[in-house]
Amino acid sequence: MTRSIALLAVALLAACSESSAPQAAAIDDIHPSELLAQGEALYTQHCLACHMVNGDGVPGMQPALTGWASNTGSADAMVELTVRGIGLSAETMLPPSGDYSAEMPAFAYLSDTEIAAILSYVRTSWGNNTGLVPPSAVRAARPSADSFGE
Amino acid sequence: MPTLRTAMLLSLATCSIALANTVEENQANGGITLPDGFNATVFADTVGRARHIAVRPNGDLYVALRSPQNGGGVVALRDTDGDGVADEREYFARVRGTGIKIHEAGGTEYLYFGEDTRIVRFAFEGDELVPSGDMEVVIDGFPRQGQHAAKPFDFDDAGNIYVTVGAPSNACQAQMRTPGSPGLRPCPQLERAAGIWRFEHDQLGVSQADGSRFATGLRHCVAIAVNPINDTLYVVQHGRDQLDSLFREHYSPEQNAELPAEELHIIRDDTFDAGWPYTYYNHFEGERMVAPEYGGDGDTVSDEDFEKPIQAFPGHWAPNGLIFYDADAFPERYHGGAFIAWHGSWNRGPFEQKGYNVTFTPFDGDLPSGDYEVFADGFKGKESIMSPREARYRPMGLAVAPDGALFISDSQRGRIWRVTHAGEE
Repeated sequence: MTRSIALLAVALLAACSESSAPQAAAIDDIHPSELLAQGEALYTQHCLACHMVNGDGVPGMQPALTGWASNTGSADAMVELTVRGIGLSAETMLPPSGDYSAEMPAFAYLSDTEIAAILSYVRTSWGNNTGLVPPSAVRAARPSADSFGE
Repeated sequence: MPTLRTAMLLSLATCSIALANTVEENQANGGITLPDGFNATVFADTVGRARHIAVRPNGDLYVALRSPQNGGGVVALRDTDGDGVADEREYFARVRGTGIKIHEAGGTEYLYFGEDTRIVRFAFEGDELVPSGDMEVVIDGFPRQGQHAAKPFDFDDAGNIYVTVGAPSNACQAQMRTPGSPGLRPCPQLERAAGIWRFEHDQLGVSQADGSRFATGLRHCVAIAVNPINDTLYVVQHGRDQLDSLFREHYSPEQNAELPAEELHIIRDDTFDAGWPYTYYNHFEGERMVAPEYGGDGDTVSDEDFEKPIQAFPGHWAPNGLIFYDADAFPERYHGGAFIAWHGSWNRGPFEQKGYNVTFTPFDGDLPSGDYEVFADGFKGKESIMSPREARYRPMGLAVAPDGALFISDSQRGRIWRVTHAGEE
């Protein structure tokens, strides 16, 4: 319940983030503009190689991050996918679902804030406008529900 | 507001002239550029998500599709009036995949098809465009995998089949594509993948275990061909990805954009080992380097005895088609040389993506006699692209027709070009 309220608050915030970002309230003690700035840098470091500088993905390999159901819809699925990945290790290679040949690595080694920053950046870039993701939403999706790497 | 209206009309007119020029320009050779003396027709367009292609001795062309459409995973194309444009098109076979070859066995001509987990075939009767024979399973049971699952293949003169089994990973890391994660040694994936498997001729219904590993230490070789002139196997390897994002303490994005090389290899016998995942090839140094998953730092040269490529190409260009030109319709220097179709990079970000062309390497006997040159270009449709989706076309498969024409397939829009030579030698 707390998580839903947090997400709702974040979504409302994001709706007006363009005009009022500098004045917006902090999310989990992080200013939205700081979250997005971190997000862009972290996306460049961890995601850009596969999902492209413009979020375009690679046909048949990695999905585009624009207009994708998990992206434009609920943040929960994105958080889950980013934390756990698909195909967890060299021994448990699983064919990915859908039309994409590449497995998504698990990014559980990133901190809650780092993952939240990346997803917030993705969800507000390249025409996406589905809202920021608070670090608390990532924390809640951790297997142990404990804070990790903070 | 006559002035505004005139201005708008004028600008519209200017736009359409510019557009017309662009379209006209792009239509020459079906939107690609070729060396002087060469021409191309669009043999077929929008056939589907084209992968490899194969030509029958009668000139009919067959295209493997990544996903079936119109009820088939193979497209058959026939040019009945010889104008370089297919006028019959049929979709057939409930398959999907990359590998496709025409091969005669026991006096019957077959279409062989490589799905991701098996090789199947269909018998032709006479000159029929669509093979009427039921599907027969030739080799079954390749493991399902996500990355590098395609099963391209070729035959030698005796009819033995060589099948690419790609590595189900980037670099055999303990944690897949995870920064700093070490590589497994020995890499367990080498037992059933990351190599070329050889199957004896005239076998049906066999499994991967019935074949033998003919070459190992090859990450993924979509481009695979037996050179019909020397009956020897050649492959071009897709080099590893993500040196910088996985080991940023050793590699910059600039270095990752250029490294490692894509590697052209000759495989003479079953002792061949190209050293994946333990090494990669640095074409600037001319050395095989220790991979960062195995203790490399970007500067450490491997002291292990792995094969070096017979020609190295720029990083990430993605070699997906290889064919040796054994016909005589092109100028003499092309005879015996290798055409390679480069699908084009995705792992050069944040820099522009490259490749997206067809190169030619001249050969003298078994080995290249000179550097490669770009043969067909312009597939991207614009000067610079940042992601593969922006490319208009992506070169994929190659085939040489009985009359010496070179076919090129495109995976993006399903265009097939037929390249001929008309000029004086």
